[in-house]
Amino acid sequence: MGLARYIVQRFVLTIPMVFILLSVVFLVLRLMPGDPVLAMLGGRNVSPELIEKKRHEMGLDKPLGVQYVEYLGGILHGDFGKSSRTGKPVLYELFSRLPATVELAVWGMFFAALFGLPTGILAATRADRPLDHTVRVFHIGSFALPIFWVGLMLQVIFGVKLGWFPVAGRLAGRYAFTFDRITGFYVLDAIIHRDGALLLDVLKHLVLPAVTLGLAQTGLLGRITRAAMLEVLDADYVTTARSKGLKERAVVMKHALKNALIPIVTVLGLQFAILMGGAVLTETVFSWPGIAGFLVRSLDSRDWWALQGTIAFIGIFIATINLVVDILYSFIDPRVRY
Amino acid sequence: MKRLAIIAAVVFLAAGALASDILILGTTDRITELSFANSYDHFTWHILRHTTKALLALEPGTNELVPGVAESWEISEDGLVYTFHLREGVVFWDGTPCDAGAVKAALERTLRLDGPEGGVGLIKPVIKSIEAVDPLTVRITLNYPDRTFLIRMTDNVIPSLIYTGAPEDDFAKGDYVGLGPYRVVEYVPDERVVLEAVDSYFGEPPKTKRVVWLMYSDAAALRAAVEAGDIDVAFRTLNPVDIMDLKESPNLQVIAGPSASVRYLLFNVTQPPVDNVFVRQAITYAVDRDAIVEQVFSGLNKPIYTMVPAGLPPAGASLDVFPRRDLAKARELLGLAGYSQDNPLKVNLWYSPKHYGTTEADVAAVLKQAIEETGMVEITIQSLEWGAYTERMSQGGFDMFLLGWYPDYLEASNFLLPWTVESPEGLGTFFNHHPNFEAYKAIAEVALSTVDDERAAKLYQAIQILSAYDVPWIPLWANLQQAYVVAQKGVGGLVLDLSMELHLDLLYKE
Repeated sequence: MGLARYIVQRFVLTIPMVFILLSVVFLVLRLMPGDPVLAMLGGRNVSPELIEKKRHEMGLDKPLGVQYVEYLGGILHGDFGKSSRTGKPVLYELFSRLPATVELAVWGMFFAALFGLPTGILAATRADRPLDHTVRVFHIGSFALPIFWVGLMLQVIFGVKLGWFPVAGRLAGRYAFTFDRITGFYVLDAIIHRDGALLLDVLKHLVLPAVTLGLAQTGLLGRITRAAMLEVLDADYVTTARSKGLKERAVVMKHALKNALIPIVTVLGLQFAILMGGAVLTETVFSWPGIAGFLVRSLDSRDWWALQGTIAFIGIFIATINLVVDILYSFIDPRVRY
Repeated sequence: MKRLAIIAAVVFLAAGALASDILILGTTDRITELSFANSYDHFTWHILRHTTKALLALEPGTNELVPGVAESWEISEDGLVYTFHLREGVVFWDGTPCDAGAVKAALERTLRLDGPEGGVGLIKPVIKSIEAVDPLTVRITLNYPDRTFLIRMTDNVIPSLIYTGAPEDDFAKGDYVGLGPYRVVEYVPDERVVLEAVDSYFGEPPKTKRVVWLMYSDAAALRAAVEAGDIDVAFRTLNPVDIMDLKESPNLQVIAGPSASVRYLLFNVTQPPVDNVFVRQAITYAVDRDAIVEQVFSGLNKPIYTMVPAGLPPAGASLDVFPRRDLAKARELLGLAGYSQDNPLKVNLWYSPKHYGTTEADVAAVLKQAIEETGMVEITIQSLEWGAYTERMSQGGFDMFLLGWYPDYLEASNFLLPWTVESPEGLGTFFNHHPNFEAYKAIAEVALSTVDDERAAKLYQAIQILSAYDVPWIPLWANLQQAYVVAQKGVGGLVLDLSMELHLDLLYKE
């Protein structure tokens, strides 16, 4: 099977998955206690006429089946509805926050890879020695610690006490007048601005949340790397490479690591999805203005349209990432054919 | 070389002056929608009222009625016709003159659009017509006399704001031209709002040219930001324990303003067992306000014995009417209602876990313990998320429940009428089914129609006295927590008053 055909097949398989996701979200939201109209208007002087008027405007007075068909039809046309909390299209709300979430996830991934891969390799090459045991303790500890606790500790130590990094947000207030939001990816925007101080400020804002988010993934990635490396380090071709007189560094990095990459990349892909969807705690601790915070606030205010749209969007995004990871296999391992 | 040094010094000083021109504030609040006819929350209103103004204003610090876009006004003898004389030379940011036609157009647009998520109902029922008599005279005729009308015409009540340039048939959503001291130059949802001073503002120029509001996800992040010096001012809302801690910081100033925000217990007067007035009265004697304030809020909030905050107009309206704690009296009343230790009163206590911050579960626990100390009550604590909470509340599904109030306008009536006369079903008391409902309604009508402050105050006192007998509510504590401002040393102009507003144009950083 050719790559193009494989991509089409995977894409077609994604459609029922997304359809099931959308249907489940639609139904679950309507089974939850809490009426979005009353959540929006409640707690103050509202007349029954106003409630009915709003319910009619939002289409909630229609039969459930009609609402469902209209909802699916809208999504097919790229209309995810309007947020009942902010009054703006859900897609607008998502796209205004998506760069923040993606940027944090990418940098979280970067930190996870930065610490996870070398420590995993190190542990494998020194298997069952004291260094291996130490690294394994670090790996287990890093994903055993609760994210919010790690975040708060980093915030207090490096933000409040030492003052090395900002405690929250994406940009210092003093830059608000000179900074133009171009792409929404602030590192990229700062580079476009050609402003070193601005770039430094943006990077400093990223450090604590990205390390917090990345730390939990470091342990998992490190352990997978160690296990995958141990497997290939015992393989015949590695023994052959060694017997040819290659330096150990070349054996590990060129011969072993490349062959160990498949499970590592699989985990990286899955982890990216987890980072995207699981950034709720990190975004909350560091007031990171991403999708997760929007999702939580939408849940609190029973903003069905925002919830449906956000969950569907994240689902589609994760499906796309997994597809990309599958395609990457063929580049990592030439033996993989579709 | 010397010349270079002087230039360098000038540049350095200029840079310093520029830096102090920016004030960075932090909050946990969010903007919902920058629309005059379709928003109803503190922070959105805060931004709107700093970007444009109304016919009248409230003096910061005293809350006295002062001129706004109108420099003077007259009221007809029957209290039905208000004539406002506008200032000369007031212009919007784009240079368009703000004349009577512009005032009429703005108010009529807001009244016409009347969004379901807005507070237009605060002015719409009373206004019959708006007339531009001449370029500098606006005449507003009322449907009925209302002593609160002028207060409702201040910039404290957002639907009264004057603006132009907004779409005719859609909510403004930030698309408008105002005439206030600031304009919004950037708004990034959940992240920041950036405000810049406007030269054409008719009032005193703002002390700080540029203001940035940074939005934090919760009180912990807000505390960390002000503690680390990332922001100059933290306002709304820090946790009580954080405020107490920050008081010890040598770099920060912690200032408490007066509060018009109250917290209370409500009863659905039609719902057994609290439909029995003896039961409600017994609970008024059993609640322990001091325990709530001390145990939950570290002494930061203040017990209250009436719904009307002291200092709210008309003068003398506030009257402490609810009794102090007396368990013997509570037991006696429970006995009159037919309950005993062997046959205890079983009642629910409802609360919403997040809407009023993270302390609500603790409040419920302290209340339960205090009331159960009678030995004749068993309380079941129940909670619902805010969306479900308001739904159940307005459907009459609660017997006893916790709620909070932040005023729509600063007058005593706004702390007495919503639960009794104006919206008893929406707010869950169902007091319109109470035998004394008509009496409350009659008193309210007379009070609202009188221009005599003293008489109005007496009538409001009468409602308070009646409420202590009928007990549709039990006032518990004044929510001072939201009136606290934490700022870096060197930040000045922190004028706090009952509006619980941070007056941005007065703020400065030394």
